[in-house]
Amino acid sequence: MTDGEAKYTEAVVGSPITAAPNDAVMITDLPEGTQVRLRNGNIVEITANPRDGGWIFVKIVENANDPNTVGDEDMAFCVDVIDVVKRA
Amino acid sequence: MTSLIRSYGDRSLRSLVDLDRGLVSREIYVNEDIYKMELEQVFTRAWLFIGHESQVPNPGDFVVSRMGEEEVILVRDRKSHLHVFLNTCRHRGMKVCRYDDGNTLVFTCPFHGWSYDTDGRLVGVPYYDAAYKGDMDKSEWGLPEVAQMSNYYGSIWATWDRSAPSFEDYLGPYADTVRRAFQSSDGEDNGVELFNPVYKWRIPCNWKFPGFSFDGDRAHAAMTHRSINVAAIGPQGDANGGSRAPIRAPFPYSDYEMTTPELGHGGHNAIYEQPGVAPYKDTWFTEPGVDDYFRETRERKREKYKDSYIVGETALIWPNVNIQPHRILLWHPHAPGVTESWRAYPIDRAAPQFVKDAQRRYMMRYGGPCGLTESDDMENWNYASAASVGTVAKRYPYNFIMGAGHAWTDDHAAPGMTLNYEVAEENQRSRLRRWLEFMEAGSWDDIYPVNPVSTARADATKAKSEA
Ligand code: FES
Ligand SMILES: [Fe+2]
Repeated sequence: MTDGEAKYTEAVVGSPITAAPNDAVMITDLPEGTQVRLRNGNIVEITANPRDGGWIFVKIVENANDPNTVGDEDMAFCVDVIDVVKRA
Repeated sequence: MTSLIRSYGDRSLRSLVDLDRGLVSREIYVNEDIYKMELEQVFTRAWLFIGHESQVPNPGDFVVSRMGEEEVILVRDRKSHLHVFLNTCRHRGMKVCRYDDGNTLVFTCPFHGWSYDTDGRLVGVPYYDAAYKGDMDKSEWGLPEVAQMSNYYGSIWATWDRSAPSFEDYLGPYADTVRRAFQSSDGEDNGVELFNPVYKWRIPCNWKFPGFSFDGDRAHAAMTHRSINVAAIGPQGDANGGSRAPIRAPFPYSDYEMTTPELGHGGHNAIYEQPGVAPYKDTWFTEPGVDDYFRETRERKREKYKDSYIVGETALIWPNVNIQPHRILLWHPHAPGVTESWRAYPIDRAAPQFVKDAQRRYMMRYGGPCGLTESDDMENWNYASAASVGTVAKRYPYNFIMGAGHAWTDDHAAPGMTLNYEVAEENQRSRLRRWLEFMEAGSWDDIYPVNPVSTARADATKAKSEA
């Protein structure tokens, strides 16, 4: 079991092994401009939301480990979105 | 089931299709091995009709279509380029698109969440860094895209075969017919849109029953459509004897079965004895105002084409689509004895809504699963299929003798075409000949520009007609 998966299991009630933790935010209806925190600590802003519940297109707003990436475009997967920090 | 086919390229099929005598074994319409071979030999090679650009006007717009048995997605990417992709995830095969049409930023697979951009690139893989650890290059795992795609005056066609000739070459003498089918009624190129959605339904018959007989079986109409021919479904209501066809002004022409045997296409086509386009004659007596629109567009078309001789207004484009003004008929193979029928209806993009509505109502009365004309046809195809699968029934070949040996060519009036009397089975024989060529061919090199077998036959026919 990897570190990442071990962390997830702590948050899941009644399901010992899963990669779909319950602490993730439902992203389906989050509008563009919303800022969210990812599991790796980064804060990102939603630039486009396909509204498929799986992915959002984002721009990095804060990355403590690598500030050079601020402004980069990326995609974030649903289970990695753990908090809404600023509503659009 | 008896195995008839030992390997691809097996010549034993030839014993089932005797076109010189007009005898064709029922086996080729019912046999599972032959059907599977068709999917490979015909449907991964031929150019197939996918849809129309009007179905996907904006970036992210998509519509699901079919190539053979398989689903494909016609999509306009963010840069507005059109693509045709197989609707299957590269991870474990799930459909990445489960809607008939819509608009999207990405196709996200519902199984494990792989996500594909509208240009087909795999852009999202869950746990990519943590679990794949750099072992997989996403750029190698995009959606499978067709080998060639053609946007032909707004109509979209595709083939899985890189070595297929260009779409225009594939059409040969019928290129002009397909071009005109997507013109608006005033003769402007790429002037139509399709009614959305496309009509789709499944019927219990082999795809070749409708696919090979449409525009090649005029003999059925007098009997099969006897009732609908007087049932007043035409735009003129019960005027003109209640005909299902619109009223047309007289214009001197002769009607023939025409085909390009070396390409497999063919239609019921007129040769006009004078250049130009017939004047408009009112026919929309049941729909006020519609004649005014079409009268005006016809005048513009007449001006544009006053010096042109028009040949070929409808065509069966090999292997499975019939193109007509206002109607596109498609027969997708679904199983040896199941065909998925599609109907798409083009209408002038610039027409006022009441004209579009009137045309749609007429087409609904005419074709599709509840249209009266095609309900007549389906009865025949379906029950003929059912009565052809039996052990004893299969001992008796179908009869395609009508008009065999009586074809001729006319390089002046209809260059590249083989002609026959307007009621013949020339076009069906032509499709069966092309079918045999595709089924036996190892690659496009064997079937284009012409198969030596069909060239020899065409030459023989020509020699006979000149004798
Ligand atoms: S099958 Fe599509 S992500 Fe697994
Ligand atoms: Fe499950």
